[in-house]
Amino acid sequence: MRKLFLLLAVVAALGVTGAASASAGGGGRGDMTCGPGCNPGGGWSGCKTIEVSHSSSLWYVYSVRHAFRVSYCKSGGVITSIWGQTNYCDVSGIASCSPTVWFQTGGGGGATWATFEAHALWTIAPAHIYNSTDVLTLTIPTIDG
Amino acid sequence: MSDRWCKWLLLAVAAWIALTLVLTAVVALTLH
Repeated sequence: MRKLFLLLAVVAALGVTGAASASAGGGGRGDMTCGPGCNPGGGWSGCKTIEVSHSSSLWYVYSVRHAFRVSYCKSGGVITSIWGQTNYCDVSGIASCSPTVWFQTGGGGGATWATFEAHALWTIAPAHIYNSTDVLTLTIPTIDG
Repeated sequence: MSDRWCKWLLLAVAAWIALTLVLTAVVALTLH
């Protein structure tokens, strides 16, 4: 009888230890740092401005930079407003660049993401022998913050 | 004399066109 109680005590002790270990392991996972792909609590809220650009330059000869900028606000990870879409060029030297059109290619208000495309026509001045189009794509990402 | 000037002018135009084409290719390859 005594041996039986001893055996039960040992088994109970092992069970408690195992449960404690399992609990500690679970707690460890819960305390993990939230990485870039993690989205706890329904998403990011706030406003920001993002910009994409293409550029090329040759010292003292030319410099051209085509950029597209957009501002947006998100609430709980969902886009509530998009504004300030600006398609522009910075040039110097003998390069010439004219921003032409931009348009939204997907997503937008009510979604968690949005994509844009912005075009510009550039050439080497003043000969204007050849015109070429530069295309920028901008993405408002789902994972933000 | 006139032929000589004409020759230089033609050369200058050709050089400018060549330079423009080279620079256009440089921009096209490096604009990113």
